[in-house]
Amino acid sequence: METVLTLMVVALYAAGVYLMLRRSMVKLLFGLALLSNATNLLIFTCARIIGGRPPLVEPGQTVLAAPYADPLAQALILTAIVISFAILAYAMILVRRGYDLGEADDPDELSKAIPEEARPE
Amino acid sequence: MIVALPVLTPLLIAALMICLWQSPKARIGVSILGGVLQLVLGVALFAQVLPAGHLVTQFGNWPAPFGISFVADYLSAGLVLMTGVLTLAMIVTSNVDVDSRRRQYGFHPLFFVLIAGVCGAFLTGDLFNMFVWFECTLLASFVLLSLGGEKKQVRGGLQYVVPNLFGSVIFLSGIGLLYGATGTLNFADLHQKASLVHPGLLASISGLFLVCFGLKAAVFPFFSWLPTSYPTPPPVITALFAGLLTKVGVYALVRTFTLVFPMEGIIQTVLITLSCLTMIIGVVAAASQKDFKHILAYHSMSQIGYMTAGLALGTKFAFAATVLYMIHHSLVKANLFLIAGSVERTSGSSELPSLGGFHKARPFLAILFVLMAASLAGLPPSSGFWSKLFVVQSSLRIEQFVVAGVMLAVSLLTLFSMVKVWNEVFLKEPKEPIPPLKSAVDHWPIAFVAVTVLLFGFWIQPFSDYALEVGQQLSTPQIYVEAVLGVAR
Repeated sequence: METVLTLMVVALYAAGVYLMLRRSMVKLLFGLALLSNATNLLIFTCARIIGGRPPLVEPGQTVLAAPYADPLAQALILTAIVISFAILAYAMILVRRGYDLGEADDPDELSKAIPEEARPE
Repeated sequence: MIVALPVLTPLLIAALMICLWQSPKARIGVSILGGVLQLVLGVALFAQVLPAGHLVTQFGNWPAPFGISFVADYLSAGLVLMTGVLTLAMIVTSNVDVDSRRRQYGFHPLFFVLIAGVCGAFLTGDLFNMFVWFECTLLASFVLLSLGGEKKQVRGGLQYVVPNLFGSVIFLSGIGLLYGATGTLNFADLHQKASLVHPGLLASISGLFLVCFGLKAAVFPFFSWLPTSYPTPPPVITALFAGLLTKVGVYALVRTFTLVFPMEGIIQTVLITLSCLTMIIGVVAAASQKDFKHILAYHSMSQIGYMTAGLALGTKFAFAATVLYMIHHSLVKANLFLIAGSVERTSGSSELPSLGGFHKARPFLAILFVLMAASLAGLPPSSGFWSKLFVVQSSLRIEQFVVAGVMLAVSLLTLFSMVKVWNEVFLKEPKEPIPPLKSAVDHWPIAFVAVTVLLFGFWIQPFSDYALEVGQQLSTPQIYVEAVLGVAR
């Protein structure tokens, strides 16, 4: 299971970086989304994958009996998902605004379309 | 409890600001109150940490490695105090600098969320919590940068957002791998368990942290976002970013590379090389700029090199130099951006060819600029001189002559750029007559920060004593560990 997930993480990172390097803002956003998901999977994999054993302490015990998957990592992922959702939403709005202003999907064209002395309307 | 207050107070103020959405006058009043509170809390925290050495708060009373701890040592307390000084100066300036449309769209709440995020990153004792504060700061800064939605801001915003998001992803990957290797995220606990990890694995993970914090601090070759995005928003926001945001990156580097990762071998060589390149490339790029704010932005980056060089040298004295430099540079650079803002408000531009004549029209501003520029270049007896003295001396002590040479050469080039700005903005005959000053508030915050910088320069003893104490604390992490985890372990 770990091997499959590791390969998955590798593939997602590679795809994410590839998309970010493309000359398109929309692909850039997809790339960012893939990268943040790849990172979440990486944390998930780092905390060991053990199926069918919920991290509950048995009655009368004080610690978890091994082997168990670390539940903290999943809490971290939850936080990371919320944060990446907020940031991705912001990035989408920004790209939309850039598109409205410069009518360009290519970042290079965007800089060309915008005169240096642009002032507030 | 006092440890968490510099974070909780601005968050509360931000919430209050949202409640006051409909009443702009009340928001200005509360914002100034918030600025004063931030400074008072900074002073109070510093005064409490000074005798104790470390103050620790465990949230929810969970014992250290399990809950989230907030730790104020000399370094954190000093930086929070510095944040307080800058908050007050910025919030007062923002009332003349930020237009009412931007204020209408939530400038004030975002400003205080940013301050909370910065203080949180300085005070937290937990790596993942640091990530959360980083994101909190980042999100507020994203919106502040593009608030107003001007074309140049959108372009600058994209150039700022994408590298920083990539940095965050790398940060999170580093956290995941480090957690997998050690099973903990508390700095003190990490310090104890990091030595059990295979050194090769630890070095690779530390590489990830070097890249992501280097990116946030704008170290070469991860700097390109800084000079393109910093000059785009209103100057007070730029001043805030230049004063605080890059320092958060440097602080994170200092914290992780003194507590968790060893600063040795290839990582040390890489960081020393990158620091020297950052200094040189920043200053050379600044020399070729023709815009007041662009020159300052490139210098920001060049000066970061001095701080990371101090960290990379890795001695007690070099750590002290880094801390001294961080505080000096935050105050001076933020103030220079405020001066640039005042100039831009008057003439509507910050491009050197269209400026001139400010030494006659604004003699007070001219004096303030000379003081700040001299300090940035390191002329004695200014704060910059002492900071540079410390950092050069620490590199000479361990016979890193090339580093010392680079530092001295770069400070000469800094002086060149500052003289250029002086000639173009202040001395040159103006093309159009300069209108009289609209309100005196314009110069107060600049003078306020200038006084702290002068204090730093002329009364260096307490500052250098403080910096040496920080160096002592950073080079003996055992004390930090004992303060957080309890002595018995």
